[in-house]
Amino acid sequence: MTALTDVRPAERPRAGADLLGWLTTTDHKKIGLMYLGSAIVFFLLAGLMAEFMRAELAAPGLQFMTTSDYNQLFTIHGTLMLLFFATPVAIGFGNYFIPLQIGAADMAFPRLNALSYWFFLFGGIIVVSGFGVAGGAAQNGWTSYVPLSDGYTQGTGMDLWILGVGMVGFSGIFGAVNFIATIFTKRAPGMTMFRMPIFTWNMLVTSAMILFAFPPLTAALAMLFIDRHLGGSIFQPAQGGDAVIWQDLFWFFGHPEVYIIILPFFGIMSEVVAVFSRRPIFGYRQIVTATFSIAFLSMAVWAHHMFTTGVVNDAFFSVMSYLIAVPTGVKIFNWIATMWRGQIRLTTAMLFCIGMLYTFTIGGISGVMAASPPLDFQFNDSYFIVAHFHNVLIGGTVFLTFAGFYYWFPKMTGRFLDERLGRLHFLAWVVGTPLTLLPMYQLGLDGMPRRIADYAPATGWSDLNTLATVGAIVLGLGTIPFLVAIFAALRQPATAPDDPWGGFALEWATTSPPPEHNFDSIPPIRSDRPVFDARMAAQATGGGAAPSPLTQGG
Amino acid sequence: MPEETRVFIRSCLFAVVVATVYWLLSQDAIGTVLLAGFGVASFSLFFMLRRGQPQGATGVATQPAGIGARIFDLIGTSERPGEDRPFGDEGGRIPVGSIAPFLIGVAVAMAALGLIFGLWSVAAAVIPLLLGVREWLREVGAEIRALSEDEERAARAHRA
Amino acid sequence: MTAIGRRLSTGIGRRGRLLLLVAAVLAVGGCMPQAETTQGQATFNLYQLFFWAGGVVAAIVWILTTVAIIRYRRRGDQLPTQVRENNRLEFAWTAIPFLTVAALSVFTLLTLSTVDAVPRNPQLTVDVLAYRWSWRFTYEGQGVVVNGATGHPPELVLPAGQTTEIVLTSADVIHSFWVPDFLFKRDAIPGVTNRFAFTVKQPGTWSGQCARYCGLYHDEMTFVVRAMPAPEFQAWLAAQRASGSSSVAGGTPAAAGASSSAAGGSSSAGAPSPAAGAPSSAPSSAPSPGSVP
Repeated sequence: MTALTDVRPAERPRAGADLLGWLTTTDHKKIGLMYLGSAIVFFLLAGLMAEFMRAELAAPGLQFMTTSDYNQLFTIHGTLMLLFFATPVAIGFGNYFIPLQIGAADMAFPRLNALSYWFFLFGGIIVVSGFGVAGGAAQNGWTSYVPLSDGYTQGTGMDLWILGVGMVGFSGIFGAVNFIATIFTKRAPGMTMFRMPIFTWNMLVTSAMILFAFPPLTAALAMLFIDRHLGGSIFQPAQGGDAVIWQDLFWFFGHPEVYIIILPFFGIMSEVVAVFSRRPIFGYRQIVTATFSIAFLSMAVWAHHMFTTGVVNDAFFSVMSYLIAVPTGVKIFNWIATMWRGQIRLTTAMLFCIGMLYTFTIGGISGVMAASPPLDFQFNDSYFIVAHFHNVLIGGTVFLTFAGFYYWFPKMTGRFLDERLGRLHFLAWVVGTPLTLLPMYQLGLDGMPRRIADYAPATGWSDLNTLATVGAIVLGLGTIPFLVAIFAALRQPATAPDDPWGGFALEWATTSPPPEHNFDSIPPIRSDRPVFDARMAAQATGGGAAPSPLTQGG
Repeated sequence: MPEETRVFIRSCLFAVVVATVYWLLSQDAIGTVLLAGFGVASFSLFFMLRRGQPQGATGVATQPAGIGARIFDLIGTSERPGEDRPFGDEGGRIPVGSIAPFLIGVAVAMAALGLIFGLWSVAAAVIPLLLGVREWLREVGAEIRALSEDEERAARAHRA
Repeated sequence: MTAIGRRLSTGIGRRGRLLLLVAAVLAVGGCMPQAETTQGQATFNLYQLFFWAGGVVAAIVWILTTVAIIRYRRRGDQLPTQVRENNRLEFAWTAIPFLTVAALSVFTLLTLSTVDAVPRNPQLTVDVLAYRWSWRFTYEGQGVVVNGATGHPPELVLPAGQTTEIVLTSADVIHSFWVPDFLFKRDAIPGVTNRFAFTVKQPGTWSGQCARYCGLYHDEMTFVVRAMPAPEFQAWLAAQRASGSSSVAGGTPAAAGASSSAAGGSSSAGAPSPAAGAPSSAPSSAPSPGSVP
């Protein structure tokens, strides 16, 4: 690698220059950390909102808040979790680790990278700032269906939501362009596409999906803004508009979005499971193919959110949705096969992956149920659906986010997260998740609609709701060990070795944390596990125990 | 064909097939347009990548023979030897840092808020926007100059 | 008891307890209520199929995972075999899920045609208008209108054993007509008219509500469904008509609500004050949203 010298003489860090350093950075690692940190803050904020909502629902009657407060909470909770936590945390991990995994010095467009971070951060601040304006934040749910969000909602909160979400939409597109360009053009010599780690593959596919899915959202938001402020009537049936087009546009974004916030985490899963089983990921090519299949199919299933509208082709969208279960199941079997006959080390990261196999499976199965239109006529907009998507998002996205943190924290900071606190964290989440969600499934079947602040005592829903609230409290308290572990780790000196886990991908070939230019030297890349290969070669020449029969190459 | 271009021809083929089937089943204009748009966007990316492909990226690899091999070459997940190089090169310089993205981010956020709170905010956003754009362009210019100096130096070293 | 016996029994006991736990967990989150309509019965049967099929899949994944982490927990420093792929295995776990979802698709589509069927000549047709935040039920050709108000849920009276067609639309935003015990809901969308039908099996009373978030008092947008034997239903219709129904037919929802409440047979207890934003015209004419800026 040549010509990595600075354009300007490097600024020596001065006292008080720290803040300026973060504001002006174009280093993918720093931007990745900023993404991850901001996403975790939004996660905690949105999680707190969930705790408030669960407190309100624990018993019939309005105890803590007004209906309007509640409506604001579920709207901003959903928006933050999906667009300001789950998506950015994936982009954060991608930012930090894609260049490292492909042996690059930085992203293809470092300044665009910084720009996309600032768009995301300001978008999030704008959405949250709705709580401070007259009338409160947006309160129409994260889907903001029209015409409710159109002529029937006044107040600045709704407009702030449109603008904030619009900004994060652009941020996502910038990030996606950057990832694709980086992966296509910045790979180190020898790093063919089919030697890339699965995480990088999944980020590539995710980026392509962002590229195709976000523009319809931006268009829909622009139309909504035109309707609200510039005299349009695109979504107002009374003036000749169409109330269903919003749902088509929104879900043409929204359904791929669901996979945008799970595929990167499937990538993390593939990394962690392989490393802690000490085996190559089983069925590498099949996993890549499955990732593509999920991505493609997810572009053609959007109207399964609209079965109950009565105006979509239920049969087509139902069958397409079922098909997604096949590649998803394939991945689960590949992960189990990776573990099979391995040497499994139950670190916290691995525990969260195993927890994912247990919990995500329930969410996946209830998803297949919801893909059946007759069943969805009962599930749609009930607590069954709430339980379903929380089941896949907690069991998938959140568990694997934690796995990613425990796995990569030593690489990012040079410090380990405490494993005992980690096990406590894992225990609380693996118990709290079904405790929260299983009652919700039953509540939905029994007829409890989502997005209600209150229910009558005669409904008989209070016991299950109390149970769900207890589960939510367990999840909330269970997050504390994680935060304590982070703060405790950051107070320690950086002592983590380059490769604490016996890793496979290139990020483990550099120091922890990596230097500004990432690599001083890169091992030869002859398979999808260059670091593993190098370790084996060193053992062989070092006269250590002869390695077992190895790979047939990548 | 290198995997980089195959990524998008695959999604293009998928979109075309699904859009056709969907239209035949539903005659729904909105959904068909969305799916077709996905196909057109995929094809555009494929087309641009195919044209922008550096010379020699496919030259080393042997062309597949037979229709089955050709189809697999188009959409399959494997690669032939000789395709193992990235599209770009490792040249170029990496900026040490830049205030420009932050300034432009601030400007766009202010302008967006101006759509709600009044045009004064849009007007005020012009200042950070101009500062940011100027800084961005200045840095890009400096990098291009530095790059050509690098190349000259390399060429001189090569002659010597 | 011998040591071996004790070990066996604790083994069985542990396994039994594990099974009980799994059963309890599944039971907490999976009981579809019994359907009160013949169409809902088809949905109920489909749910049973999905539930048990899903249970089998979950059991396979859980058991394999559990066995893997117990059997292949790290025992030494020996490098495990580095197997990368197995085409036959990979084909199997692609093909079997594919065949499973193909079978589920067939059952789904069959059930869908039952649930979505609308008879050509239903015995009764009710126009349902959803508005913020209540419902209006207009009995087609009967001259009877029942109207509710926010906080005063209206009552949809139906004949048991007969097929009722519902013609559904909305006057303002999108709502959803949901009777959980019928295992069915359908959206009420302004500018769109949705038709569906159901046959209530037995007389009874069930609650229904709006399922699509529609604004501030969404949670109070409920209604009651009461099914009665056909002769009783005819008597109810006659009583409704007798109580000044001529002013009701085609009248405003407010008037309709007042008259149906005056008849004493309907659910609108108390004076139904039309909520702000209640529609002031029939669903066929353009609804006027209450608050367009």
